[in-house]
Amino acid sequence: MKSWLPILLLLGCCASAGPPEHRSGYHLLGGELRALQDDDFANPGMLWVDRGERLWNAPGGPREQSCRDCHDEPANLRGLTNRLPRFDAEADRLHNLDTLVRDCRQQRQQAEVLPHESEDLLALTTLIAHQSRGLPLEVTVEGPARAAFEQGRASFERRRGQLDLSCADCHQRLEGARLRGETISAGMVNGFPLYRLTWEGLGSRQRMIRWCNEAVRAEPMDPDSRRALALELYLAWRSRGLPLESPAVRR
Amino acid sequence: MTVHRHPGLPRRAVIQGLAAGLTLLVMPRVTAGLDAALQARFGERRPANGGVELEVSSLVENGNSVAVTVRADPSQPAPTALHLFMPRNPEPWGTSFNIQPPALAEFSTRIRLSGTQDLMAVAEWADGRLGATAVSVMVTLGACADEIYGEF
Amino acid sequence: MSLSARVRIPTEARAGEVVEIRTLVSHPMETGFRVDSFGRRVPRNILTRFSCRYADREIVSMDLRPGIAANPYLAFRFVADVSGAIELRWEGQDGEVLVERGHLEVSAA
Repeated sequence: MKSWLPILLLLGCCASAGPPEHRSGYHLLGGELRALQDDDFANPGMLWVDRGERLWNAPGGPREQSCRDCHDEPANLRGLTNRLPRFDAEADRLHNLDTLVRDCRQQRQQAEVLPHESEDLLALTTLIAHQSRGLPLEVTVEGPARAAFEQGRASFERRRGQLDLSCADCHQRLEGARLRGETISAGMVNGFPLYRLTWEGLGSRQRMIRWCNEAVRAEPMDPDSRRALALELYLAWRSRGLPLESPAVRR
Repeated sequence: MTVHRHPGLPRRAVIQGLAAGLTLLVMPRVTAGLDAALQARFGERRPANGGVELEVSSLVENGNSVAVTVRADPSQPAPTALHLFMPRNPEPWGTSFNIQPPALAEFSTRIRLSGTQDLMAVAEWADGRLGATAVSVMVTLGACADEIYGEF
Repeated sequence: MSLSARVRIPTEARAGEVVEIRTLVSHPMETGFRVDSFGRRVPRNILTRFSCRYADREIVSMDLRPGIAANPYLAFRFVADVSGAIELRWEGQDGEVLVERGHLEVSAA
């Protein structure tokens, strides 16, 4: 027993420091793709960051306002993305990065709303997410967010689609198992928006949720719906402690 | 259980090569699609073995973006062009890279591979001579990789 | 996404030094071989040519085909011999052109 004590103490220390429960999808990549993500020049996601910087400075709407006019440097938004989605008590709803940018553009800038997964929306969201690179994911799931969190957890556990699979069936219970040439991921969302080789482009967390739903032949969710945002909150909570990697590269 | 053995296969060499983590160099094999592509680029000329190096992973996670480096053999005079062929792609001609001094005869890019195949790099010299190297690349297929999900 | 490039062009070198240019361009490189979920063929849309001029010489040119990955990446090297302008040029199948410029200052070895 005595010889176990240091190990137990060590484990105890780790637990109190709040180590991530799961590993980032980064660790499921081969060396070549890790190198691609780590190369800030060649990582294709950086093309969207560049485009986001141009859009950040571009005036729009009736008052010819740019993002910069209100927010100054994009770096001022460091620490935002790693805490999303968050509950807006006043509006009684969850906001994720997409809804924040879309609402800001529509209501404050009074410019044309950016469609989901459009290149312009992804450029802005990736620029903003990139500012928080390296910060641990930490979403609030207590207080007014609790109901949404429980809804998200239930959604994660609920079987769906013609394949009758829940998110948990694969990404929790079978995490690390092989499915054809793939290792089943833990479903961590710390890389988004990310460049996916299958898409040959960028996608948000909601695009990945939609893709997953279609893969089990379930009806895709409306990305603005309460249940889609609640599921995203639960996924972000499962990813708590992992460093934000956007724009990550995945298969 | 019956075990089929193929006496013609240089299995020991293959296993030793894989175990050593070496790139699996293969004899350039000319399929019909590749031959048509070579014909279109070079007419009746066909490459001899060697004179060019091809750097690529032997196991690829996703065929949509595969890093490759093509480099002329530094011990030979510099070629005027480097070509890359992917024999089992819908279009086997991948790219041609033309070089004038003071550029060096090498380039790195990312390519698409529609499946496991032997990539071929060809160096072309000013006198019309051609040299080739082929490398076997295995492309793994992920789960849920069906084309129908490519859209969203 | 609209055509734009990330480029890394060296600005200074000693004569005889080997320097590298790296490029990444936003372009779908749509092959023309894919069909969408309604079975319709997605038309080909590719960049077809890249070239690099250095001190008024074309030192590199490249034919791009559908087998080049989306958002094409290219890196190559050359020996810095004289000071001069560097011009990188991409041409698309429908005549679109993207040009990026730099200047390399070469000092005595």
